[in-house]
Amino acid sequence: MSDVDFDIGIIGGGPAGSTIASYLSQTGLSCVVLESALFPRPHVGESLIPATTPVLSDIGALPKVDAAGFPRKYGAAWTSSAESRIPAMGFQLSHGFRAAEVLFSERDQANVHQDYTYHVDRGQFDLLLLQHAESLGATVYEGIRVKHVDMEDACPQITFTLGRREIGLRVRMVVDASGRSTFLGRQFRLKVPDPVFNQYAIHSWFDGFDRSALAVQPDQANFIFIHFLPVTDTWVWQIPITESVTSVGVVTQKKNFAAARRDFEGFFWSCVDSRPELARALRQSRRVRPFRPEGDYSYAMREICGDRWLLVGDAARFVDPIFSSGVSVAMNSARLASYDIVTAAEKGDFGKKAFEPFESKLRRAVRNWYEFISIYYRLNILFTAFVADPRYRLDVLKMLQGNVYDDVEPVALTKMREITRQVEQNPDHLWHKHLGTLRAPAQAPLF
Amino acid sequence: MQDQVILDNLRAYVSERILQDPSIAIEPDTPLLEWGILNSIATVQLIGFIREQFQVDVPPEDVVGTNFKDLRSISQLLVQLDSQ
Repeated sequence: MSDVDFDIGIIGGGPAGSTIASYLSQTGLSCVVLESALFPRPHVGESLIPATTPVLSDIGALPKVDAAGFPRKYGAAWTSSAESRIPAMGFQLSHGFRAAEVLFSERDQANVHQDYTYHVDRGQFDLLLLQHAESLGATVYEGIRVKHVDMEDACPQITFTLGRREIGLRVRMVVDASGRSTFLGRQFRLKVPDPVFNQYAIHSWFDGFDRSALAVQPDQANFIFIHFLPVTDTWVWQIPITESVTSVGVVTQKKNFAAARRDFEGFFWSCVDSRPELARALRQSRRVRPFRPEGDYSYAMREICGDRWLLVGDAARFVDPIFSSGVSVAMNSARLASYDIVTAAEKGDFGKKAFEPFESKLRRAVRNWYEFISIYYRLNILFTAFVADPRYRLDVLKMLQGNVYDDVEPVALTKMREITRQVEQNPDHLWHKHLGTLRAPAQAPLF
Repeated sequence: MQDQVILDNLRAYVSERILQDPSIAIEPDTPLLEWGILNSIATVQLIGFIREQFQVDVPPEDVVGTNFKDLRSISQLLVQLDSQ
């Protein structure tokens, strides 16, 4: 039909945008992806979780990703400053240091046939996915900054400038995959800052950093490491990017960072210095990128879909990255949205009602992530206890793998909430003094 | 379960696995919390050890200072939980 230029207009060419473009192009819908940057470009959020694997497989990109040589990620490990006061144990006991590490292979996952996921250079990974979408038939425009979306008519119009010309594209529906710039969320005034996860990150890449410096066993060096700092609610990520390059970032509450007067470098080192063995290893390596801050860290949207539009990935919701959920939420929200869009296209009706299944699954996932992370910050010793407890270990691992879309509420989550309440109410509880200052709020998703 | 068996097991675990120094004498009334022998991570590990060794689950409401202040209190807690 000639009343529109494309069936689907997608704002943003990151993992959310290229995944939905790939799904939809496979079914024969015509898609245009409007990306403001010129790829490859740097991006934070480099560690994947296994829930991305079935999506990559669905869109046919898994062989390309596997062949690209990204470091394989077999598991995750957590270290805390409290732990370092205990001499290295040297024992392999289920209740020893394993308390704070998991292997993805411990739990079978539907449609996942490999026991690893990846750590990725997002410049390369995002480019690979965008080119993949193009190879499936999507039209991709890079360096295009969308100015406005007009939703008044039966067919939305996306306006952008090319040189001095203003160009309008007519589509049947708009997918906002613009990431944290939240294009439609701003235009429709849907965005609500999250007052609880008021976090800030400062990160860079380091060459020659000894990743095994804080690992108990050398073969864990390619895990993602989360190092907790003595400063409350502050932690460091350690993510392999290549054989020798490691991404390291400090995540802290905005007020701590504000006190550092926007001195990124000074603040980064003052945090890292609170874990001397980490600081030592890091100072022996070479920083290869400037320090970058990430602010405006968490927000919610009042709506994530409407007549002829929906939001995927960070454009829909962003929560603290402690469990590396960013790319997985991007790709899985794109997957879920694509099912509804295909059905809507068949019926010729892109009204809001068509996106209800997407909305309810995403709401569930976001609520589960949100609560898991809230509890984690409130009492992270409890997380360690649950990982060590055979009754809950696999249930916690299921969340860490990213399977949060189906359960109304994972069992471990219910139990963790109960225990947190007991610890909060009982000053004599041994963990009471370990309660973080972040409190789980009463409300979670707003949509 | 016999009190003495429990006590000996706990004592061995604390000195060998937590302190990693069998030469340090841990008495039934050595103040584990006050002396910082049992910190938060160590408590989690000890609870895991108790579950494996004695098949006793310490419910979260019992993870309190009075029950964990020394080896005698911990073994009394275990006897009491085991008889329930």
